[in-house]
Amino acid sequence: MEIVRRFKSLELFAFTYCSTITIGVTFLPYMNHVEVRSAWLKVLVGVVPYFILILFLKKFTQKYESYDFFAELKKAIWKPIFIVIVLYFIVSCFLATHYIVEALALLTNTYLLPKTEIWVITLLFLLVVIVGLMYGIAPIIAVIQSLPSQGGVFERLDLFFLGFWIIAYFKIVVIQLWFLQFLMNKLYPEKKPGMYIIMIVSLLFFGTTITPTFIEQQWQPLTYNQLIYTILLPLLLLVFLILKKKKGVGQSETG
Amino acid sequence: MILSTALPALYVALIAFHPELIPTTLLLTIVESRMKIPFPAVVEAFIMMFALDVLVEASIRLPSFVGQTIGIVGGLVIGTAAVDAGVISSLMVIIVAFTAIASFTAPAWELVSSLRVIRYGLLLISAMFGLYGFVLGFCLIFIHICNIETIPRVYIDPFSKAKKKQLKKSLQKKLTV
Repeated sequence: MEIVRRFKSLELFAFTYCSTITIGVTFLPYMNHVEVRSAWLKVLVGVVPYFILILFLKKFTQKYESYDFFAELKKAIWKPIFIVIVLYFIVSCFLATHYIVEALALLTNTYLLPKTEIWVITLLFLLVVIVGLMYGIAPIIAVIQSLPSQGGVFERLDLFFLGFWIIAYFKIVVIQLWFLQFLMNKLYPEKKPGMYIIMIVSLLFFGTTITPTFIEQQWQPLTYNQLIYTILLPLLLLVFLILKKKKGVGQSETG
Repeated sequence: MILSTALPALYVALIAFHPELIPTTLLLTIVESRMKIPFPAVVEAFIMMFALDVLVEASIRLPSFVGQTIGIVGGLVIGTAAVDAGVISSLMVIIVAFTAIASFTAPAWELVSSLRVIRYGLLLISAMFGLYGFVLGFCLIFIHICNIETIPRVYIDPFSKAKKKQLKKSLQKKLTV
């Protein structure tokens, strides 16, 4: 059976828009009377470089028929360097997820469950994440993207919004952990993907329990690393692969 | 269907964990109605939901003319007596009654049974973790629903993927019926 590959720019745009900007836009009108306004504007501006990344991803898919970034990278560079790059992605992805889980636990502990221990909040969240990962991410993410967040009869809208925040955090963590498991499979293929999931989530749980909360200064280098991991390195590698293959093969792409 | 599964859980989450979410005037009414109730909101909800399920199961197994009487006796007489005796708050009766009516909108009885199980599960997790547990409980349910396949189609088709043509067709069909 022939597999039709379609990777429309509209889909890429929709995915990025739903993953990042919607939360900012949803909160902006509500938050615009308090001091966090500038932070949200930063979020909106900060997302712009990711559109450049999307542009390069689109170029990559036009040049390479396989659509497989890591497979093409493996072919294009020396194997030890490839291993180092994948390891860097694995560590950074883990740290990013760690940061998100820490943030969620702290927010929930501060605003929703002040009397509950943070490890209990984290454990419950990670258990639900395990179920999500075991089932597979694609359909649930599609549904979560379509969930609207509206207010109206509630008194403390910020707390109500926090409920939707949990869904947004859940979506991000599931995507990140799926990517982490995917990377680990690239490096060392495992027949039972559940093993990796359990291993990663257990590590994450103990990591979030023993490390200081994300507002501490020690986390600052991590935020710089996020820029390298999410933008700088992928962009460099994409440019390298695109330049390496100047003439692409005809695609069935329609975007 | 969402109302029939989520309403008691949401009520318990708001009453027990986040009363600050409820508008002040409504909160005062709720507090007044719960003033003399000896049970916490979750126990109250469990009692009412269990009583409702017993009534529903009894009315199904009895002949139709007796079933109606059971409905009246159970729903009206026992409900009113329980509120007057100060065992159950009047708002809880409204919540559970509305939940029961909402559950009857389901097209098949088997579906109502599964909704009932979900309702108890959501209530339990909301009683333990409030709104946080409620949202995570819903995430779990959605994960499961999104992965169900029936008659080689995705259960939530055409909403699971961006199938504009199918969505348009199904909406047109709904409008013409």
